[in-house]
Amino acid sequence: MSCDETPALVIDRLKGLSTPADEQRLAAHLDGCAACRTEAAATEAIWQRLGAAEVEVPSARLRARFHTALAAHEAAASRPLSERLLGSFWPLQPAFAASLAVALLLAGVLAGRLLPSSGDTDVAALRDEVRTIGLALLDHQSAAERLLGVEWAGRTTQAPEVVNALLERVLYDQNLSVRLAAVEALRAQLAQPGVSAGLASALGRPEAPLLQVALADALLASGDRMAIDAVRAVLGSDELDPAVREYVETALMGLDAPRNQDPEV
Amino acid sequence: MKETTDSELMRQVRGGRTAALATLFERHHARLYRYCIRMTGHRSAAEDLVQDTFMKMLKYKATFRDDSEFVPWMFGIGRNACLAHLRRTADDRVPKHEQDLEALPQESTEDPQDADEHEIVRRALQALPVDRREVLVLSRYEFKSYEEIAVLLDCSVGAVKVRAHRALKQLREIYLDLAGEVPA
Repeated sequence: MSCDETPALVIDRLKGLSTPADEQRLAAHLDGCAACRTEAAATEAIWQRLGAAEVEVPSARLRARFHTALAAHEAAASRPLSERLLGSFWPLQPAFAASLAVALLLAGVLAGRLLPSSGDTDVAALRDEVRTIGLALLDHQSAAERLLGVEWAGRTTQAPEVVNALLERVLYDQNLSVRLAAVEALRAQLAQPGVSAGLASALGRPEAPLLQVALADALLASGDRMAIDAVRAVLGSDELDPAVREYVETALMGLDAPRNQDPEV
Repeated sequence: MKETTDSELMRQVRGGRTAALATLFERHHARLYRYCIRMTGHRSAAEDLVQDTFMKMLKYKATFRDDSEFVPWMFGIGRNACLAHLRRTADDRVPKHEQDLEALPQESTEDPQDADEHEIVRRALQALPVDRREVLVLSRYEFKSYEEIAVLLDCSVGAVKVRAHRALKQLREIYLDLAGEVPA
């Protein structure tokens, strides 16, 4: 075999694709050709170096972005035909698009002056779409996405379904970080009906002491009598983690102290 | 229970069940990301390209035929997106310094010497012309056979092997230059 045939056989060997016959031919040639032997060894060395390079992993944000975009695509696909037709007739060339946009703007201004406003409907529809995506994130199989959903829920005006979704995370999520984040997000919503009761029902579960501390802290901070009683009641549980018991007892003493001092002031 | 194949899922997407794309994304986005980051050397660009590729799958779903295989089809779209990005940024030789820095692993448990060597390999790969970088990335990391690469690059198997060998040779020279070593 000639030196010209060597590169292709070396390349096959690197990927483990050589046939036994090719392997024999290559080995025989390399034994007798120092130049090809050196070249083949150097090629194999850089091939191995390439293979040893560290593997990059995409960030969790990429997955969240994709699932959000997919949900938006599905929402858009389910829009009325009239809206989709408008989208398909929108000109692709920037100059035409700009002209059409200006014309529509002028028409809109004129119509706005003459007709009663109906813009609130569109804004409400957009809010609904965003809420659908946020709720989908809260229910996602990945904990990272659910955390993003909780973060969104903490920043948004909380409709009852968002609050319920957060309570569901607190009560049933498999991931402690998600549960803790959901408790934090609900702290600002303690005045809403059912929130304190929902958090109190999670308090009795002994499997996550850190969560119990976060729940007790949130409930005591609410100042609500029923919430405080729920925290007090948890002290009656034999399964209560000693560290949680100590935390709750100390926190309750802190609450009781100013009340006890009041008559003396 | 037998797992639904990639091609079957993509046919479902083509038929209007776009939610099936989520499963395909979960199965393949990391692999496509590795291809994109090796081609661009840029973490955020690679993530944008992966996102772009999967959304383009919805746009071009009709081009997925009944006899199509999903992975080569995905790489076909991803490859076009990558090459278009590289053309736009006129970044087909040496990446900008900032990009270099961004593509560095944020946390590494590697031995510092290994990490240095991997960094040199990474920089050498980025310094290759796009066509050579691509044939190396595809043959070293992504595909088991040269036939699949030949289909993707629309050339013969022999041409893939020649290109791969030349690319390795050039990579070796760049590597030795960056590492300050003398070629054997």
